[in-house]
Amino acid sequence: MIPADLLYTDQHTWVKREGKKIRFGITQNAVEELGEIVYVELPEVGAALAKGDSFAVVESTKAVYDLLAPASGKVTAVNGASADDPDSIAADPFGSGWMIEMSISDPSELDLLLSPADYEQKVKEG
Amino acid sequence: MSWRLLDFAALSGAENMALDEAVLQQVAAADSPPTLRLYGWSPPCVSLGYFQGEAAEVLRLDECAARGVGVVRRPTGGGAILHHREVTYSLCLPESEWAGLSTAESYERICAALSRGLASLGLGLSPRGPGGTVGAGGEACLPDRTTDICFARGSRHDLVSGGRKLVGSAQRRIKGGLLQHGSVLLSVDRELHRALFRREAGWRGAFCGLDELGGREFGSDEVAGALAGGVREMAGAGGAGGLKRSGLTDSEVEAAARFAAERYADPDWSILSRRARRRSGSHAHIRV
Repeated sequence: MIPADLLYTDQHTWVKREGKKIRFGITQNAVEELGEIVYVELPEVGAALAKGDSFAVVESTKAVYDLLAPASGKVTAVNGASADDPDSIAADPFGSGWMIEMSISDPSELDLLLSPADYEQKVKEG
Repeated sequence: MSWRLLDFAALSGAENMALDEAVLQQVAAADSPPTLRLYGWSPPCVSLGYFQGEAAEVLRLDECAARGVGVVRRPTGGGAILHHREVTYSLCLPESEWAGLSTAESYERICAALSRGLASLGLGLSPRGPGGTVGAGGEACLPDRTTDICFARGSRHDLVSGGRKLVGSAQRRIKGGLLQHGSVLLSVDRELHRALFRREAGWRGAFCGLDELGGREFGSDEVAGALAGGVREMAGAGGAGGLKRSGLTDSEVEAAARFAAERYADPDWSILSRRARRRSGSHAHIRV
């Protein structure tokens, strides 16, 4: 299932635009690729991220992955519950499993994100 | 493009982990070719997984110090490993080499190359596979959180013989690149394990060295050569340029020195847990 009201990166991150802020997390497809997530490390509130920076480090039973920021800006909130209970990310990746909220510095970066249809096509292509 | 082979050398824990990260970053940025590095550890060292708890919960740090055994935290996950009589491999690949492969498929491809290499020494190792068991008795693998020791845990990508683990591997994936490194046990010093690890439960019979499997001692050079042979085939597949011996670049040497100072040689980084590091204001995580 790929929610129609979100934008996506080719790194399997979803993005929800909320005015000058975005909220983002990982997609169901990412959850399936990662396998069981056992640890999550999120940045501090106030951290500056550039598009493509590592915004989180996640350890699954397979590997340690750096997750990449979909846009540039400053972190305004992190979902401590998902870091404390990584199972909650897999249980509801598009909802309560969100990871970061950020004020964006360059809204035009969002124009480069994938539409739900384009993301769905990417997932199909593998 | 040819892949690069960095010859076997034995270094400290901090130097080894800093070099693995430095090479990964250069390979991910396409500033270095795909690279296989083979190395040992001098002095012997226990490495902890990136998210593992405080070293003092896992190890008797006074015994480590008394016996001259170092402690370092890896950029990869998983459990603790005593690096003593082993050859460690570290393979850094750019995304172009594994595009379209799942994490599991990339492990399978790399571990198949290692297995082929070790077969040239007459050693029959195969992946544990899903639902694999531990030891000759066929006991179920221990869940990760019930043992501190990597080699007592069971992953489908372990290379095993009779359920006993001889090669354990872990991956780190960053933007544009992948590091898979792992330990190939030449022999196991069980007395040293007992002395250093606080909780030994679960590791008896779960792993062994190549010496127990092959019935003779194996030297670092011959095992490193065999592993390079297996990876050479992988590097040459599909008309690629094979595996060529070369050295580190100046950028890699500089980056490794920086990473060692910032992280791996910093006791806070290696000894403290992730939460304690955050409290102490140490680096939140590796910036890529």
